Amino acid sequence: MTIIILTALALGILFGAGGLIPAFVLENIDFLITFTLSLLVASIGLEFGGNRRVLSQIRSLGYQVILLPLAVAGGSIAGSILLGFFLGAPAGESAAIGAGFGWYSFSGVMLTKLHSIELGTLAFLTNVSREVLSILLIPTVARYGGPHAAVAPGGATTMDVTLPIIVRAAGPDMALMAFINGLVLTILVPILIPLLV
Amino acid sequence: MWSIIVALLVGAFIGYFNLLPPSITPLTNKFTTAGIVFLLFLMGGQIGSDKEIIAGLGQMGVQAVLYALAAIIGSVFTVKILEVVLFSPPKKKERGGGR
Repeated sequence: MTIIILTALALGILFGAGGLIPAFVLENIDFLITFTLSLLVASIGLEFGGNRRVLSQIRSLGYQVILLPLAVAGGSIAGSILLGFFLGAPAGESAAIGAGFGWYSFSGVMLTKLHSIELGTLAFLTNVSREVLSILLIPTVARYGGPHAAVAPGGATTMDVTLPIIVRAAGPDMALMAFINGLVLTILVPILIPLLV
Repeated sequence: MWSIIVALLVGAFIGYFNLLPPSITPLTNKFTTAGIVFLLFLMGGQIGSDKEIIAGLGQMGVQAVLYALAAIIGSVFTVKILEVVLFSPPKKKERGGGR
């Protein structure tokens, strides 16, 4: 999936730089992006709503299981705003970058659409970095911060890419919690980014 | 951009009440991938045709790593706070004198 994503982006850059993208696509790019993005978001909602097993597991594990992704969301956004303050970036833009929670493909595209290609590109790069840094840092965070902290760095990726790393570093007990953490953060990305930016 | 939140809710509603015919359901995953690929191609196209962005990619990369670290540190921090609040003080759940 990562290779497909990077290939699509690289091809787009090459086509764009070479002026190979047809004029009618460029003229209607806004409509095309809005339309595809809406369908995409609807299919994310579809998977979440249709996943009754997970919904019932969330209920059986209790409210604490929701508090973990909420803490991760709050911390990611707060950390980004704080850094943005030092970089001289507007709080809303920094918050929206942080609210990608490591889901680079989606947050990049969404901020390109909602704000600008600059912010979208920065969000893409930031959230790629978050995924890569998480993979590197999770074992250390687990050792010194404990099993719950080990779920934090991965953000929305703890339901897929970083799940095996968390399980290895923090133990199989964290698997379900990490999965639910990633799922809740994934659903929060398309909700929070439009509200924050 | 309320259209995005509406789209999310409509999708969740359809999924929760199983309103899609079962023959379509396995296709949603493939559709999601195709949608993301298409959007990233378009995003790449916008990056590629914008010389300023291409020139600024290096500096943006540094900022990106800083943002990623800030988000990671922030989230580890809040999870530790949550842990302290939830698990640290000896639990006094049953209060009110019992039976």
